[in-house]
Amino acid sequence: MSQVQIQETQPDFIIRSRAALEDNHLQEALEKAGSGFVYKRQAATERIGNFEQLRDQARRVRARALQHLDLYLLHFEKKVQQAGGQVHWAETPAQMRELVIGLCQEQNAKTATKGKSMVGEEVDLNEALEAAGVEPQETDLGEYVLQLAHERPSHIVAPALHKTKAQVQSLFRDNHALGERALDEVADIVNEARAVIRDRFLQADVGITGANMLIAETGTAAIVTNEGNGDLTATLPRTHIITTSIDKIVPTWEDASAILRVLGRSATGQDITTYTSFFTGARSQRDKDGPDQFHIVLLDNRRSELLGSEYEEMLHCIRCGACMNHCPVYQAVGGHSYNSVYPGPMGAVLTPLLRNEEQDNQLPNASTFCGRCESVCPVRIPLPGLMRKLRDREQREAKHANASTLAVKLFCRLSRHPALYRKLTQFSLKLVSMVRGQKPRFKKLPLMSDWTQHRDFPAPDKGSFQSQWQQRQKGKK
Amino acid sequence: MTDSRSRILDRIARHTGGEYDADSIEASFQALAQSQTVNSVQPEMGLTDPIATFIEEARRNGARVANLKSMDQVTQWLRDNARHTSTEVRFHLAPNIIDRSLDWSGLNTTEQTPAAAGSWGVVQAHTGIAETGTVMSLSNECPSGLLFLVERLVIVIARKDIVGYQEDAWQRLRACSALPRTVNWITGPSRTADIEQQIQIGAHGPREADYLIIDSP
Repeated sequence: MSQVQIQETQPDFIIRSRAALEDNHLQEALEKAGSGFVYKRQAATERIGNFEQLRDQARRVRARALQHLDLYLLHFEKKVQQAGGQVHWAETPAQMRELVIGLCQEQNAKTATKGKSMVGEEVDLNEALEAAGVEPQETDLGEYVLQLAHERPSHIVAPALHKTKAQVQSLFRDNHALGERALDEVADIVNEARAVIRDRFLQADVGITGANMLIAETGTAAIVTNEGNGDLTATLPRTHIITTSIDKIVPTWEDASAILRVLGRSATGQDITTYTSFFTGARSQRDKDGPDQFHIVLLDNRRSELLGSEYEEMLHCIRCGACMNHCPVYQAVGGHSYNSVYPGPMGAVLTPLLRNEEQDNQLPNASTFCGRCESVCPVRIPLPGLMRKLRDREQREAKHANASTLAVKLFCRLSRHPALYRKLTQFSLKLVSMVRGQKPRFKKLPLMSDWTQHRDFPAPDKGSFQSQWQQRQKGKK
Repeated sequence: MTDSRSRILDRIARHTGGEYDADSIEASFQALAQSQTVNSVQPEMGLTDPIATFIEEARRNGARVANLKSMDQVTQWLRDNARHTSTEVRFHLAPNIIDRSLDWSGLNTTEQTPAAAGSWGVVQAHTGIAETGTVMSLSNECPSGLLFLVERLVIVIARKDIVGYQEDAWQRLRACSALPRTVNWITGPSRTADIEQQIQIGAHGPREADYLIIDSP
């Protein structure tokens, strides 16, 4: 069963996860990606002496940017206009789609090359472009593979992380007129994509990219890539459109440096990516090349409502993906199980806040609270803390009490009555010792078959904690 | 979509408490920038000699580095290195290289946009950044597309243009009369890890990157 079918038909995280655990291709891909990101990040952070200070600095920059977000956005807009570009504002995904399609139609665009943009994914831009008669052409290798497979990204930095080499080879065989060309090695696959996409760069009417940062000082959009596709998308067509969100702003170029110094190291373990590019407005007479038209479409989609709320720190996120690379849940079930463009711990917080569908309430529960995400987050977002708040919110707003809610409520009541609690535990322990007989462990437990499927449950044989404690205290006297 | 703009800004202002009209934006931004001058935190990496660090970091990021005494030696270096290739090399020159009136005899040169195999780009960087072994190119000096469309990119950089940290590059950029449309930072050849996280050099941009450091330009 493919991931896309699961996404379309199944709104339950648990069921999607179970299917993911049984998906051999996915498990093979996850295993290969495995700890690569983790080791690379660690090596990159250890190569310099003060990575923790760089994290603090990056966090300060993000906090400062949000503190005066309106001023920075207004200054950014003014500078873009002075440089011959335009800024457009979209409150909702629908508005962003409408704006981008309008801009493409103004140019009579038939094709649009695309660099990677998670905001573009957030608003389902490709489907909308296609419906409007503009052919979206993904150019990032991972995104290109997914376009052929009609799938969504499963990781915010490595979108096709869930695909094995064999699956990519098969997609290329089905979609490319390969002739004699080989596809055996990764290099062959990359060369094949390079050759097919090169012409598209040269012929596209419009180029659409995302942005990693918006620099308020000069109205500059920065993008960070390794392949070079983002630059060819941004530079060669007559029109360059950027789809991004209001929270990407930083005040100055020095502030951009503070983010760049933690972004590459946290994402891919690179002290800097191969390309970091800064676009300010449209091509002027002095420039040797560049687009004649430059548009930035800024998406809000509930982000402004998070300012000043208990979830504001989520807007610090710089989309490095370190949290999902270090998350045991993500590593087990992959990104598609989250059924959102934003998977992993950051997605488990962001999706319920931005999309807020009923199914999204499950996502903050997809965590063991091991805390690795927070410990590696370059801007120190307290992800487990935010997930906990969202769990609380879910409990408060829950329309129907489910079994776990009832169990927790029952426990809360019981724990307020120590005498009754002690009686009940003594009774249940007696019951357990009758049932277990001589067995040291239970192989199966009623209502907990998922748990005991993978491990045995140790049978208690020395009484409850409280009774053992009392015994011990007596012994001391 | 003007309404969207004001509604978004109103929601933000509810939190920031900001009130700005078109005329006060610049002054408010400058005032805030003045009051918030922050000391940059730069990576601790024992950077004492920018040239040495630049070379070390560039190599670590996959660039080849050569030292030349003067600009005159650039074309001879190109001749020597092109000799080893199987296809004939076409050299796509950036305007800032053409201006140097070097001896191009025996080399197939063009100013056109490259697309074919066997294309080498020859450009001069505005600034080198030691911190990461990065070169900075500006679109008012060199077409940005040239940096990405060639198979092999040869970047000439004067020793005097190599600075220590990113902040030093920003200072040099601010000293320019106007910001160009595109500021490109390049660190080594293009790459991808999108297939099973294996790093593959040569994605959409150049497959090879050479930095030629010139002692006296």
